[in-house]
Amino acid sequence: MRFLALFAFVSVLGCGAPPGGKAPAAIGTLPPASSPAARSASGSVSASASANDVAVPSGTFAIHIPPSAKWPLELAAPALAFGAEQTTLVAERGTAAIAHIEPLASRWSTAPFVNVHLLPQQITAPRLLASSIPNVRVQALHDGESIAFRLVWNDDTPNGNVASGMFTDAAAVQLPIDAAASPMMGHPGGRVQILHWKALWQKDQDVGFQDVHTLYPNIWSDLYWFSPSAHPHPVQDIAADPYGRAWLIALSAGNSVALVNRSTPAQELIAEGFGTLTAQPESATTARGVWFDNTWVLVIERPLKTADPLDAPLSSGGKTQAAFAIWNGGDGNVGARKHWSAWVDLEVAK
Amino acid sequence: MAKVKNWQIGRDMEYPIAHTPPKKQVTYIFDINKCIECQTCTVACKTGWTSGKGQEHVFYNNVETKPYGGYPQQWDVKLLASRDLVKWKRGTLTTPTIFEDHAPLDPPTGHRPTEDDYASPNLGEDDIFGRVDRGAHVDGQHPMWMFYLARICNHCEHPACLAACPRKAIYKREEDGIVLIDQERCRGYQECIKACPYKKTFFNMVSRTSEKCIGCYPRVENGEVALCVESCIGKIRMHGFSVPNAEPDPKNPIDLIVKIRKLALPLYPQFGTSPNVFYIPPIHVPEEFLEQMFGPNVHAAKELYRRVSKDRELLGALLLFGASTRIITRFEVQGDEAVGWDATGAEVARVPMVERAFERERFDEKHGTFRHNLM
Repeated sequence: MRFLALFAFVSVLGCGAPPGGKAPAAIGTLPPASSPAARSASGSVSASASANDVAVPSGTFAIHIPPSAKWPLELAAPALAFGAEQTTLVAERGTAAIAHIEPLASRWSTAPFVNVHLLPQQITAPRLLASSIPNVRVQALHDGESIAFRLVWNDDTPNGNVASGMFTDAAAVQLPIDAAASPMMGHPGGRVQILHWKALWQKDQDVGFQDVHTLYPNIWSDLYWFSPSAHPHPVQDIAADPYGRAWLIALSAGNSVALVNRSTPAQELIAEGFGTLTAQPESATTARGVWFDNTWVLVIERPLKTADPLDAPLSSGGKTQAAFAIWNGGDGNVGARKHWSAWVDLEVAK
Repeated sequence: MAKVKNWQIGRDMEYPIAHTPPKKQVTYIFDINKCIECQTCTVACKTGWTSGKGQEHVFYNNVETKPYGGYPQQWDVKLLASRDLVKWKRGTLTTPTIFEDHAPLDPPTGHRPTEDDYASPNLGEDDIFGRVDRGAHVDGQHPMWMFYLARICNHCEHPACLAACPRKAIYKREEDGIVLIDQERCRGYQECIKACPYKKTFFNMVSRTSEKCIGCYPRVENGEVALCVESCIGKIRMHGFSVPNAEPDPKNPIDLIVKIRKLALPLYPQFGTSPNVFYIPPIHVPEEFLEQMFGPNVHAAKELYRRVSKDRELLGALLLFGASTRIITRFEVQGDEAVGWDATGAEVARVPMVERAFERERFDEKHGTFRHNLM
């Protein structure tokens, strides 16, 4: 299926795929010179097609996003490679810096992975009745300073918008703060830390904040009180105005889901049972997700050691657990309507 | 699940959360016989509360035309059509409410409006039920009918939005029963939007949280009526309080009209949320339709409304609609006037039981012209 999907991707863009249903590239090999990957080298997307990698100057994101970019980004479809399959998630230690590691960095291609099985959440209300994401492949790397998780799962449609009845793809990594915390978002006295990423926030980063006119280009409104600018009244302008900001109620109330100038598509949260999920005011977690070839590839990363008592303790040579959750926005997944896993043993290599 | 009292359906019912009723409950009465759908209430509310980015489709208050109108479209018809026919037996609902007709781990039975359902707030406006055939004429009463239904959040005694919120971000205030969404806690899961049978919670795509009618709580805390009530030019609305599960107070106009005379009825009581906006049913509309909408007491309410001039207490209470910007908590008929007092004991309204009329001299000598006296 990935073979066919790759062909479709190329042919839709009119990039010289031969007729007759034969794709120009096999899985694991590079697309031809006229493919989007090669075009991207000329500037629209700087992902390199010359290696199964995105060259990453340490500390920066290499994928440059032009303001006019479509979303999801027109990335080349490099072959995804993994190390050996294991049952325990081992975060191998490397010498290269982990901070801001790209989802397609070459180091992932040798890191061992765990194929984590996901179940639709049916323990508490509201339930997810049918599963659409049966598994997620998870890897981990660290450098003694930061730890990164790479989550790879199949999803035919990238959903990065929210509106009435419209939901975003998302993923989460859960780590226990207190030993023996329930994998189901902890329990009273058994706290968990949750590192959360949303495609919505990723899209905010990649191509700009989802404003009303982004989704509804023909929208017209006679009145936005105290909007300092003209139609289409960008929400950032309103948020910057002390009077206009009062009309952004959740933002004024300090709700972190309402931020209009998010610095990372990730958020740190804690929970000790259903309904207790609480965002952390300080978040050292960063993330980056890319979608291509019906697949999300996401890296979520946090410092290994922190002074924050509400961060799950991690250390070189330490053993703990991790659990994972995936939301398929196109299938109406939101909140408790999600796919989740049991605890997976996690070893942070010395 | 907890057993809770629901006087509107004449029995106890299952509700997902055990809770104690508020000390007093904010309550509204709308006399929709008088509503002309001028939308002044809608504009007052929209201008006051929901003129922000992302609130374009948010109408805490709207007025729609029944039977065909609705905002969001078909908000009620979709839910009615998805459930079994409702049955009442001597004032008791014998069929399940939206809290009782599903598996234990499912939220209250509901539906989620689509984008298109929010796109045309006025669709169906002024459309009549029935057809105007050739030769049709008025012979006493119009054979066709329609009516205007003004709607706000019902600040239900058993809110479905609150029951559906997995984050417990929705709460009902102990002091006045106003139902609010905590904007600091909401994460925009839209479960409340699916569960609220009246579709009075809305998703704001800019704040990425859900928002709902706040019952003008900053005004209520100062004893003032809501913006939609104050702005109503037809004076169809009364804003007050009632004490849940208490003996009704005949000096409280809300209690007299709703609980003692039973002139005003809840909207879709069969859903089971125990809504707190009560409607005086439009007397020209067929009872088959009204019973589906307002429950089994429609006939009695219509009959009472037709002879309300003979019930001086009830008439006095009705005449205080729109008579003050203060919330009237006590009233009396004194001679030929109805008098209302607010919670501080201050007299805030005094209205004549019979509207005064003046007949002027037909000829104005000062200006040397004839006058017309218009009724």
